[in-house]
Amino acid sequence: VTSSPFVEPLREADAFQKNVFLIFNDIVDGIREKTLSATVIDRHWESSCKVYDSKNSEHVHLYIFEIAGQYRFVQILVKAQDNLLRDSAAQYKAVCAKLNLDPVVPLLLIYVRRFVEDGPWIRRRWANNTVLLDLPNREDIKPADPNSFDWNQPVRIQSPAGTDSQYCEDATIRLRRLTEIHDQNEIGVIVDELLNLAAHVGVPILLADQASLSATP
Amino acid sequence: MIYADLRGKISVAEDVFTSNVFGLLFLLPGRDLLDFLTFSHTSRRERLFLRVVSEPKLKIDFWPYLTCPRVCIPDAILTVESRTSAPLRLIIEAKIGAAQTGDQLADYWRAGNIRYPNRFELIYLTDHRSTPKRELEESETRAGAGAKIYWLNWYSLFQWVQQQLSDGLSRPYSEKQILGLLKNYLSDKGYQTFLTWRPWASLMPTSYRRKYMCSADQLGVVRGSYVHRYFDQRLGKIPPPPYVLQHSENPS
Repeated sequence: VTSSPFVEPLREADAFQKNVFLIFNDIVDGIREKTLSATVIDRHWESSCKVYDSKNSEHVHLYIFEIAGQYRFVQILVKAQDNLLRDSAAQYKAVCAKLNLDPVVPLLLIYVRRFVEDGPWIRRRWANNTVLLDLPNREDIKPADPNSFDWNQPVRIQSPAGTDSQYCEDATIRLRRLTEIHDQNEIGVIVDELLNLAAHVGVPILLADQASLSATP
Repeated sequence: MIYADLRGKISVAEDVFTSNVFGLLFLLPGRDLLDFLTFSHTSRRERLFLRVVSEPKLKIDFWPYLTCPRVCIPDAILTVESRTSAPLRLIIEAKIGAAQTGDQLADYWRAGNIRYPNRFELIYLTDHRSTPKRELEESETRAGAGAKIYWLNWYSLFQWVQQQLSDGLSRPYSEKQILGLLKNYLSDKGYQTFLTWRPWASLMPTSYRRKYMCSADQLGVVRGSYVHRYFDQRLGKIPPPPYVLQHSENPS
């Protein structure tokens, strides 16, 4: 017997968020264990679970590391930041529509190999950029085609040369539904896939063009 | 906590934890403890090899004194008896958050090498989430040529316990109880790893969802927003479904 009908859903939400934390920690541990013999530099680690913020809630986990001079990262996007959805997020919403995801609570696992080497600075927004979130509405920022995104296979996103490197302009990404991870074996597979993301994948490089954007459902 | 109590260590949280965990593990068949320890590995990912016979004879000493080359006190020494050769000693140093005091690992390895030459292994059991590579390498360097230090963490123990619970349906009741207690203890102490999603409201009807879906099925209505509907019923905005009244009036 509970004192309020809200108790049970909140308890479930609490348990869910704890599990997300565990998954993220286990993925990071797996990356570190499998790269013991390599030189890996931790570049950024962030767990933001502001799910009760009334104005700008979000639930995101992000780990960026450098290996052999290249950045790779893994991001769990449970709840997209409200601010980012309020602003122009048409491209991100188009990606969500393509993948049949809820844009507010996408429950998305993204892992990325980024190619451009442009100095030691790191942008947290890179991870969001890979699914076309947190992109400014500027003409010189040309995002990938939302129709090129797909589940469980590497997708190369690339912007024209000379695009502002603040934004993740050249990367191979893989997307998975967070809730499809059922055990430690799955986590091991994800770590392997992240570490083995190839430079050139067998899908066409799709540059953004406004025509494809406007054709997005 | 018996071992910690017997040795006057109950004021040190780390010692109590070590005593509790190894005290419980030691109640399981000897092969279990050895099986878990074989997950240890060096900073070069060399796994600890232990020849695990079906019923090994084990002896455990908590906080024993090793006096050469100087006094040092590891948390435990596990002695694996053998009929054909000298016993193997597993020297275990456990940590929960604290760093080494001085050159503990190097000291223990040197002491082990003097006291049990070629018949010991050193295991560093910590709460690091991943291998403390640099620390192990530095300790091996300080210990001297040939030193090899294995590492394991408490998260691995949680996973091992969970695996035993999943696989060991045929285990005696007492062993399951010990494993269950160990799992809860480790989880409570924060050494849990992801197991799986718990049965979820959206996947498995429970409570308000089940009540609503049952009533919807009985009434033949199309299922809508069960959460809103249930809350509305609780708040009296809409009448509860008939079966709820029947159920409360007639428990049979």
